[in-house]
Amino acid sequence: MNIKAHEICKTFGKRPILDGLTLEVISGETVVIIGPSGSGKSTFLRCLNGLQSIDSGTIQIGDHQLEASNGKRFSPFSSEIRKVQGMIFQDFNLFPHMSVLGNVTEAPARVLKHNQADARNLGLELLKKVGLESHANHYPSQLSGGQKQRVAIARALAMKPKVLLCDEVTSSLDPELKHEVLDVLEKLKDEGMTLLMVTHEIGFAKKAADKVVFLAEGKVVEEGPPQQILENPENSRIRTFISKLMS
Amino acid sequence: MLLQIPLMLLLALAQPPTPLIWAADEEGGAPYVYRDNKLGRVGFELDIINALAEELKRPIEFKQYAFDSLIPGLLKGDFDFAMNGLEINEERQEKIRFSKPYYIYRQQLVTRADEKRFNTLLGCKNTLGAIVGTMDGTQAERLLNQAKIPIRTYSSSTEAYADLVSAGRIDAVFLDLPMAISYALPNKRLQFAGKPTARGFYAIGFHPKSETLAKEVDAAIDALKANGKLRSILVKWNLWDECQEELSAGFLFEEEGRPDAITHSILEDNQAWTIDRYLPLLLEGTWVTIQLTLCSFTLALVLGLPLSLARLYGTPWLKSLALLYVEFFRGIPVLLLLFFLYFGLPAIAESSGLNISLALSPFIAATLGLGLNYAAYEAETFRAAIQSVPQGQWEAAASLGMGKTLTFRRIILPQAMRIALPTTTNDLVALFKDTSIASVVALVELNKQYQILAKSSLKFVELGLITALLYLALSVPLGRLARALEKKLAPERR
Repeated sequence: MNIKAHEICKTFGKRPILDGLTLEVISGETVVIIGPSGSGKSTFLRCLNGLQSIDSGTIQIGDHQLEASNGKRFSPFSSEIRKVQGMIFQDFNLFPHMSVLGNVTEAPARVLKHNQADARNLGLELLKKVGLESHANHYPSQLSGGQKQRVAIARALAMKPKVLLCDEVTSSLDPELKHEVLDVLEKLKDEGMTLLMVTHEIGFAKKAADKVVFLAEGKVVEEGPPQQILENPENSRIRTFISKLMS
Repeated sequence: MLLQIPLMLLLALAQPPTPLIWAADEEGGAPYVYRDNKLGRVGFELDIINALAEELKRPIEFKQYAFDSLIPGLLKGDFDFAMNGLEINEERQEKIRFSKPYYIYRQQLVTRADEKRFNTLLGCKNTLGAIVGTMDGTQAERLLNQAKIPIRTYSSSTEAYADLVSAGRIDAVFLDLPMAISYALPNKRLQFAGKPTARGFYAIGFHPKSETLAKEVDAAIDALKANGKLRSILVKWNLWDECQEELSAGFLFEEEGRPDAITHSILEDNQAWTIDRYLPLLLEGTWVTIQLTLCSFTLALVLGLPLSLARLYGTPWLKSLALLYVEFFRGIPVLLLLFFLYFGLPAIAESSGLNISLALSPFIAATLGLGLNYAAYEAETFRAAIQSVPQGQWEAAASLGMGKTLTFRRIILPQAMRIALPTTTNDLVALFKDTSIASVVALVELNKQYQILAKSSLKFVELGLITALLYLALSVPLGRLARALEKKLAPERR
């Protein structure tokens, strides 16, 4: 499923966050978005999923078109868009009152109206995929950060999305736990999932990204294959940014 | 310096004698001592007091005191004596010293003028569903209880007669003749049913240690009887009747010593106040308290949730309406609300010529009053709880394609309920204790039952401890139940 964002603008109050951002993602690609804080990376992902409205520009996701809606938080088209896109958050946002399996089966059971047995089988299968089938009856508070994020991935996958939007999904994890999440994402990439990731994991970008996009002040500064952007960028800002990340 | 001492002595001698403090309840109603719109404080007892003051050559000051508390207040030494239609009876005589009587009272049954079903207490007892109104802690109440006639008690005669006339929640009022003369005689919609019965004495109550003062007052009362002043006061208040002749004769009491030797009740109460007698009554009151708590709290929850939703997600119009509700019901005393619902509504229905009766039963009025009041608190508790569920929960659910309603029901509400639970439990315990307010609308719950029993038996301490234990026996497990529920609702914390 291709994604086309064209000339997207978004301001919070008077502060422009997205300032004519244009980006294209081809189905099956893994795109890593990097950039300094406040450059609009997270806002862009949230706009793609309709969690934030856009002031101007257009977003096309497969056949679905998202247009500027005046200040409405949840766009009326969002529900269709959300069915083809899953989103994973920095803070996991698991449902604390539900078991791990409950978290995963909630949406398929209630939104897709799967029957209980189907939803359960799907849930267990997905938990197995992220290596947590033995934790199905645990509650989120009993899990480590890495485990929580893997549950969040399984929960998103339960809706059979074509695209996964990953918003700094390893930023609140201890270094030794990051790889268990990144391994899962890499596996998904190998299965053909389109991944759009905001991250600071340069190593992962080098290894797995098809395209790296450098964002600053709400615009795409430079985009290209990881070797080009990460090792040999045209823009000196990128070099400074990356050297700071590596240090 | 030297000059000052004789000066002070002189001043002390010149000062008038210290006034005696007389306690009574002017809210009890006419004609004892009460507030008249034009004349201020009036009453036949006030007239007697003034005559006594003249006789004793000492000023007497009035002190407002709740009728129920006159005897405990007297024993505590809050005032010199109590005079407020105090009937002489055995329990009281064990605790306080009574003066010679100043009035011989009888009880008068009053019904609505169109009452066809009965015109005696016996007839009333045999009329199914008939309820007789009376006042707390009076001889009339004891007589009715002994006769096992269903009663409803009020803290003033005005309320009792008003309930009989306009609301029709009771079928008769049985009270002392003076009250009947003041209220029922001038009212065309009421009638005296049968002759007055059950004679007894009104006398002034003293602390047992105030024997000297009591003797002085006894002498003064004798003097008022002898010089005809007492008679003229009673005549002025339309209270003089053939009974009172005995009073002036005087010899009747002297023969047998103190007036307490004479008992004039038609149904003498010789039963001792033992635990097997009052415990069932207290348990009955407890059951009413439990029912009232459950019903009014259910109402509070059922109203509170939609109110909180209106406050959070309603249209601007709905939002301000819900806010208005919360501010109004949180801002007025629940006591005022109960009074309005019980006494105000029937009056409104009557004055506006509505055909429907708005006379709520005591239980319904209390449930409504407490429920409406607590709904305001619950609405705010729920609102705060719903708001404290992190925004990320909404977003996570939205990103899964869940709609607003589904998200609220499945994701937000369960978490909000868990957050609200400790506060809600607190409110439940508070409401449980607030049910005692319901006694103002003549509902006999646990606290009221305690007051009634304590007043008739004068066992304030023993009964108080038992009542407190009954309250604790319910509120403590309530707290435990809530903690268990909290655990159950938070399975991940197990």
